[in-house]
Amino acid sequence: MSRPAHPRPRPRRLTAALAGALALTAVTASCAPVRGDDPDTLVVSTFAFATEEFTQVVAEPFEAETGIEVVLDTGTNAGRLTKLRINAQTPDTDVVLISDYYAQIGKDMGLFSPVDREDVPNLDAVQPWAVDPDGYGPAYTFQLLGLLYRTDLVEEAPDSWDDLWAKPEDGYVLPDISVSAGPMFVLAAGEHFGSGPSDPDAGFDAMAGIGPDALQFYTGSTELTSLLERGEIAMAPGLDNFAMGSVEADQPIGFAVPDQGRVMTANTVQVVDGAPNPAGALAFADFLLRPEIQEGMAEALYDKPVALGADPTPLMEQVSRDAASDPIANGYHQGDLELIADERSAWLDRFTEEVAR
Amino acid sequence: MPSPSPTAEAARVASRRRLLPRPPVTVLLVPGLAVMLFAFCYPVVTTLAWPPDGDPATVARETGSLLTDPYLLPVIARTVRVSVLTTALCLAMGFPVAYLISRAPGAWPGRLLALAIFPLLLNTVVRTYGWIVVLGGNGLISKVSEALGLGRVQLLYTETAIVLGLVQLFLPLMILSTYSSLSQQDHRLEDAARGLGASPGRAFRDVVFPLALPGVLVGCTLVFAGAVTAFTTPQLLGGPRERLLSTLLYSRVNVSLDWPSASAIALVMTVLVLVASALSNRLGKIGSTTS
Repeated sequence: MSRPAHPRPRPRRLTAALAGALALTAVTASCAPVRGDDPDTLVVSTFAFATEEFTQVVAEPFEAETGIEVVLDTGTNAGRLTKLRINAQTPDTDVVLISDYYAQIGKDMGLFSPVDREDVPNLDAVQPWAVDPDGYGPAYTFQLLGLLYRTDLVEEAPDSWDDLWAKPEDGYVLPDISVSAGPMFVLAAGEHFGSGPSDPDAGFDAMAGIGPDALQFYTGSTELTSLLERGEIAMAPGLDNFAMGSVEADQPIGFAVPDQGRVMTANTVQVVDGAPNPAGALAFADFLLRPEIQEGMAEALYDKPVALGADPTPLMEQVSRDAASDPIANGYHQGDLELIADERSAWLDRFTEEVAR
Repeated sequence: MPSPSPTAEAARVASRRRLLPRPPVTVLLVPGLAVMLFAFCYPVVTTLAWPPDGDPATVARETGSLLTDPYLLPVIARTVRVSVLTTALCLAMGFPVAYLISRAPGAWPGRLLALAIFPLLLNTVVRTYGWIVVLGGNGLISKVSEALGLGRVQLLYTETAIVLGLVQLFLPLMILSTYSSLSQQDHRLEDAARGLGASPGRAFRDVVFPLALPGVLVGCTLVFAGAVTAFTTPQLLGGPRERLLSTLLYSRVNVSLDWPSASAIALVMTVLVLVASALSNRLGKIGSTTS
């Protein structure tokens, strides 16, 4: 019987195979399994800011009450929507907190499920506008578009979009089209200078008149408040939430509600289509609309409540006045979300070509 | 049975070792290559060619329209201009620093090198916000200008601001790369050139710089690639008015959710970096044959 030419490879092969198997085991063990029906866990996709406060006032009380473990997945509206789109066949997220116009895009993509009012009983006790007309998840908070300004750099507090178009001497910035305030500003300008909030042509024409002299087009709330606090600018269109922290810190910053062109945006809670824990998702949506949870979020996150039994904080009433508790009665509206969702690519190009010059 | 002598045993072991197959060195490349393939190549190719709601044909169409769009061509031109300027300024400032560090006596090279790369330890956002404070209308430069009677200057949100921010960001990379070549040079070669009558300039041009060329080219490639793909600094210091390809890509993904168009932009950025890398290789070969 002939001997093999190389007597020792077998142990080496064995060692290599063992090492490979060990590595494969380690990799496999570190992978999370794909979620099937999972009533014990709830994956909540939410905004990346103030996650500690959100955990304290929402996630932990929900866990204590239901025994369901809450896992937060944070990111931007667009980033989280992209993730949902990629995982649409086997979603691993149950519930999504997302801005209204991104929610509209998600609805158009078939990523969200309609909710039954019986599963979310607190829907009967929210401001009527917060209920989605197509039966999808409701709004749980809202932000108002207005004028943020330096109280020490303007002679009189602004009360109209015309005050911005007068080009304040100490400078101004405009929202980039990529932030929530951007598309809202197009609608507000269209309403103020054109035939109404569904007149984006008039909005872009008007914005083209002040775009070239704007110091910058801000892409985040902190960028805007930083510019205002450092006195680099005197005025900017922005959301009332942006002003809350500065006003609370006694910075010389105010928020003005314009006389016309009052547009607001809302954050909604959506149940993911095919979610591994749909019952938990619906329970979470209902939990979010409870008056005591809404008031907790108002205190911790500056989220103005939509629940009829919840009151805005004194700070919210100081900044946004009556509109903090009832935006519709004070002339605010959400605008045409389908228009924004459908025109998003065209608006990005128009903004680049006509305004951000 | 008598045991074999130590010498015979050693010879037997050595003989067996010679008989054993030695694992080819290329086997050592397997783990790294596997990681590259599965964690880099596969996702990058997938993202570039098969984005959500797109296929290679859509991406090709978007790339074509990107390269012919009169509003987007200036963005490509600005990206190349900013990246080239950043690379040139990093080289102009980084090379002398690296040269001085490499010629410093005793333990000084280590200390100076640590000082030069210290900015790398700071977060990009922190470094960039520093520039916002300096370059703004109420910033240091503006206040000095105002005190000198020249009026307020607004450097923030300009192409100059982006270049300044990127130079600060990537200068340590250039210093490190060029230092690695300069520190391996035999300093006596420069002394010999001077001793043979070469002026300081000529000794630098004909001896020091050609020998440092590999490090210089690596540094230039790294800085150029970093400048083309940098996002935070152009976004904070340039903003939407001074859009570069990276910030445009972000808008396509975050505003219009137009993934095929974002893939087309990423493809153009990748090609720019590959062209720079190829150019660097070519220059390296020319340098090595002429020196």
